[in-house]
Amino acid sequence: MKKLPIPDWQAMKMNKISAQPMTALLFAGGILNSKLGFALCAMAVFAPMFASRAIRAAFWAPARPHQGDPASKPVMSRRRLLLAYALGAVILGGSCFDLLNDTEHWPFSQYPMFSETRTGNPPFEELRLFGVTQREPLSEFPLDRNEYLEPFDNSRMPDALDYANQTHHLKVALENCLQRYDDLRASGIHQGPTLQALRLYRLTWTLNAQADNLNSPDRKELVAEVSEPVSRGRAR
Amino acid sequence: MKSAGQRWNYFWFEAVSADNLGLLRILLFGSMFLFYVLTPVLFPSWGWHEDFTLWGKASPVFWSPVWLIAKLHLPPLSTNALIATQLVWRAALALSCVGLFTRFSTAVSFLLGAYLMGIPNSFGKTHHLDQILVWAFMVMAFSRCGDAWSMDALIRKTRARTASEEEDPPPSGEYTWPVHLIWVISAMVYCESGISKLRHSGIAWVTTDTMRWFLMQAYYRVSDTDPLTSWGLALARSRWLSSALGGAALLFELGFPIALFSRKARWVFVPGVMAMQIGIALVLGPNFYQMILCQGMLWVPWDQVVKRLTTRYGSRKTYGLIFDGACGLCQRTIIVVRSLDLLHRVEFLDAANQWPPIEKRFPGLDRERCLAEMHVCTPRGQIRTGFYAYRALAWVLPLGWLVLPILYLPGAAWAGSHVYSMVASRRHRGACAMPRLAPLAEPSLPNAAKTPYTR
Repeated sequence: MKKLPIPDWQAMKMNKISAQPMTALLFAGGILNSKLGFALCAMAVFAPMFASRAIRAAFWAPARPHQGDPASKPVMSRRRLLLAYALGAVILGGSCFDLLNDTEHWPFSQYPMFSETRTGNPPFEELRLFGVTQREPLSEFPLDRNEYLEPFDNSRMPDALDYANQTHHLKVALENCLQRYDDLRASGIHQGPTLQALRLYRLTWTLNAQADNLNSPDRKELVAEVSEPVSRGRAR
Repeated sequence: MKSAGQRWNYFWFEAVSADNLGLLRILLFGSMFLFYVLTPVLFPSWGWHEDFTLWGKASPVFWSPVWLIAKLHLPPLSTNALIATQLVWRAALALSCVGLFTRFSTAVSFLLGAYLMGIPNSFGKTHHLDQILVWAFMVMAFSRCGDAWSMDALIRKTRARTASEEEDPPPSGEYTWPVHLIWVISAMVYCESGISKLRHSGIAWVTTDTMRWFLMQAYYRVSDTDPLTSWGLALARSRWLSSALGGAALLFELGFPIALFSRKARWVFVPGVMAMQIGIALVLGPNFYQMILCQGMLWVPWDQVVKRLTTRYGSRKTYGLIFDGACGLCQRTIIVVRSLDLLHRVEFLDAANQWPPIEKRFPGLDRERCLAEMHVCTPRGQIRTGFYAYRALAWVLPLGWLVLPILYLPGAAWAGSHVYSMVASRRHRGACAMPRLAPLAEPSLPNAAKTPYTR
């Protein structure tokens, strides 16, 4: 498989969201925004705690016999106790790191979905693929059914195309989509019409609660287009 | 008054029986096995997402691996390789559910699950519905979730050489920390989501039109899962209602960690977040069915539920099982039946070592015949033998309910009787006698003098 340069896509996505100045104070003004800073701060919190004999005793207590009964069996072995703590530290520590840094290292995450503010009804933009069935006069339809381009679904496809655009591979990506549409059609997965070309539009709407402008976006801007190769087109 | 250290250790390492963790293992892996196997077939409109093999055909041009996959330099596999991987993963989920080779199968469930769930997220967009599963599988893989309610536990008991080995494992902190760690992870997922909203939007997330905008946007965007209803648009017509909805969601997300410490709060927050996620599917579109299932199972004390059920249904009349206590194979069978007898409806009577009281109770029974094949005395006073004894027991062993329809299929009785006769006739040759079982309680069977042998 041809290897492609992989940009820091997660960071690019996160940068779209800016932190609120007030709440940013909760995150120590960015001091923790590096692995080293995070580790040092974690150590600064835990080191004094472990200097305390009482905390050390509480830490090892499950691996010791019950107080007043030296013959009793401890509820955990030392090895298993350390394993349980290590597992918790990895999962919870990784999640805290992502939360503090506002980054995502799947399966760790800061769960940023639906977290942006939308004030004053801003326009809604979306990349959407259209299949061109005829050029003169132009006849096109939105590829809005999941089976047209599976395994990509309508939720993932716009982001995947956005990513391809960022990495300057949009044309290759669209050609792949067109090929995929044809292949799925040939194998009977969908019964969509034959395409002459594939177009990627950026659609913009002003949202309203009646959704009466659903089929008439405010703006429809062509981002890219790929055509069916002549040889393949004739072959059908 | 407990110190903070004692409270900490009580929360994480309280000595409890292995039952709750074992039951959670069955439900978690069982439900996910069924979810990932059945939804692509039963609900193809969205369930096809749960079939990971389709990603073998996706173009590498879209490949933007998530952190874990990039870090481990894992490639996207071909379709055939994904089919094999998914098959092994599903088998591992099933084995984890029944608790066979539990350590190994839970580890495979976690490792392959992390890879498979990471694959779709490496093609353009990260969804956040399956991370909790990855973590739950990971915790289960490191836990001793196979110590109870598992095939491994049954096998261990049948191989036991001492009476103590036959018993359930003693209460331990080993059975507390995995459940509570998954609780904490689950609470953190919601809390982090709430903190992210505050971080990026502040309280404006509630006070502005944000929620209203999301409700409307759900009907404009094309998505893999459209909102199940058009209620979102109706809600969006009211600014106050939208904001109230947003405020409630934020409150539940930020407040969810309280459920860790307060039993009363659990009654509010757990159904609250489940309702919130059902609401998201109804008005916003994205479905989090795996998370809803997880939440539904995680917080229920299943051992208490089973205890209540056994108390309620366990007091009914019992079945008497008369077996050859001098036969090793019979002893092992009895250990298995005893483990499966969750409702305590079977009474075990050893014909080899305790014949006089049995004879006194059931004068119509023949000792030689009782030693030759297993007998079951039903509450109605009927006597079943051999295969028919097993079939009678299947009515009172909860696990037996699963095989009950098979046992009544045409020909099952004929085949079952032949297999039983074959095994019974050879049993003394290959098996060694086991140490005697614990003394039996005084039988409380219906006095079935001159009980006829029936089938």
